Amino acid sequence: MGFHATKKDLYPYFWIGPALITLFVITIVPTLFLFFTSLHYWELGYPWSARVFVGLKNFVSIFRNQQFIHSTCVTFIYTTTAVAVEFLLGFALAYFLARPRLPWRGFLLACLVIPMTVTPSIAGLIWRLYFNPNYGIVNYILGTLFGISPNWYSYSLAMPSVILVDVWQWTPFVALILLAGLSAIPHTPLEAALVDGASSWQTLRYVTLPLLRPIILIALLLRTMDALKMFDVVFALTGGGPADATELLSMHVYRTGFYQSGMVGLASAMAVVLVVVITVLSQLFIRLLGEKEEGAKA
Amino acid sequence: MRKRRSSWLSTVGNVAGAIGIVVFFLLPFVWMVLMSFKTRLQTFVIPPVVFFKPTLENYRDLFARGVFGHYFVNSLLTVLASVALSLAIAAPAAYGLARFAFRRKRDVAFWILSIRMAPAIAVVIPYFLIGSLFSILDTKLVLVISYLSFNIPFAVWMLRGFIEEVPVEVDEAAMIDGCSRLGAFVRLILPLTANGLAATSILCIIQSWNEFTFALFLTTTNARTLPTIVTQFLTFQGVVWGEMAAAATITTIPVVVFALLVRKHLITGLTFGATKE
Repeated sequence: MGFHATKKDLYPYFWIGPALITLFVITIVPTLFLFFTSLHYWELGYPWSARVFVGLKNFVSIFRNQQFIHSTCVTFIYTTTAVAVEFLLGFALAYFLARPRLPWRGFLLACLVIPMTVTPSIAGLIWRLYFNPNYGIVNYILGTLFGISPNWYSYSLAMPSVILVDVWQWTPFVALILLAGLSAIPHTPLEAALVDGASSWQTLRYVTLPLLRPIILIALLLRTMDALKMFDVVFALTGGGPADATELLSMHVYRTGFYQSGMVGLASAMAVVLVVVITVLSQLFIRLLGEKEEGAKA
Repeated sequence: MRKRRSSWLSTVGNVAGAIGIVVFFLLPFVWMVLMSFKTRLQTFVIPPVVFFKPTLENYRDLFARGVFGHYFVNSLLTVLASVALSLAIAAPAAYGLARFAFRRKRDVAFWILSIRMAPAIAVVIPYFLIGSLFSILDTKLVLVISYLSFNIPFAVWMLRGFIEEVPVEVDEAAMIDGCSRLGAFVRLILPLTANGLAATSILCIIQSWNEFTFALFLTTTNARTLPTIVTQFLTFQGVVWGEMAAAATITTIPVVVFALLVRKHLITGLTFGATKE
């Protein structure tokens, strides 16, 4: 009987085993290797045997490094601003798209699907042309409407330009998640609020928002994780510049480890920090998802 | 929300909202496509021209450059190989998670999901080092393997949802009729979830096609894929806008078409099943 039970316990692994083994080999092993390299001094171009074990020194030096601190701040500003704008705009869009008897809804939804599937590096490249101060379409529109022509390639406007592209690409994602959430809200509480004479603002504040809370958190977490990882758009749009204006963490890892200097050990330590932060957020996300699943079963 | 507004105000709101969406979200994409059909003169003229006689010269120049066709073939082969391999590994795992109860199943499922969210920039450093150790850098193989790292978790997670929608009785009936479990999976479950398999493959194709970080770090010339074409254009200054737009158009049109095809599953997929439409 005991043998039988273990056999039964093992049987599912016949099905999921190959996936688990593959994932272990191609993700866990490399991550362990990343931790290993983060404890070493090693420069690109030298033989692997030339590495020197330095313990936690890389971690000490990155937190003393002005550049790393700067990149962390830049990433923080970028993430919070982009996610906040995307949430507010996305919420407004979702509210708009949830209108009863909205004509052309299918077409409008299709419009929203396009930006989020455009290859991000290509989006960065194309918007770089749009932001061109002399020939770009952005300044043509701004000039015609408001008579202004800001220099988007300047230090102070580079970050807003990156955020704008992110907002273009990912607001639709937030909007569509929230729209799915809005259409899943049961009618009864909304009707009750209507009967009780609640204003539309009160209904939004005290009925809709609390009911949407889990889905809002999911949208915010997914966007935050993605924004923290941002690499391709900024690579193509600004290359992290001008100077270090848009040098987000991923970009800084790239420049430290591969592009400007080959300090792979140091870059690995930075990457470890990023992995830790994102892992914490993804655990939060998973907990939310678990609660939702349980709620659905109950 | 359902308060009665005067109908003309509501119409004005609808029109304003629709125009806003079209101008901000659709126009930048359309403008890119238009730009790819303009001559150099038309690209830089102010005010911009909207109606013009389209030319294919940008596309001709682009393909004359050589690397573009090469990158395109690389993209195609890498993506197809990786997605096919991912589904072959992920589909049985999804079945296992959907059909069996075993200890710590939830933890296993969530572990798989958490892998999907790891930042590429972090795993790409060890990939680079291990790849150079085995001398497989700048090959399609290293890209195919690295794309498995996000395709397998995603496919397991998506397919599990689709398989769970098929009643367990289907498997049971097949097995009473003498099918093995594997037979039931291949002959019944896979055909019954054909739509789900198609949607999952398409979403995997989109993500792999758009992947940039692995491709940038792990390849240099031979195995480069389309998203890294941007590095070609960043080196010389602004005279080839038309060609850039043409490259961008060819790169993005397939994914946009695919995305519109699986629109229904897009949000479910991108939220890992947290929202069902």
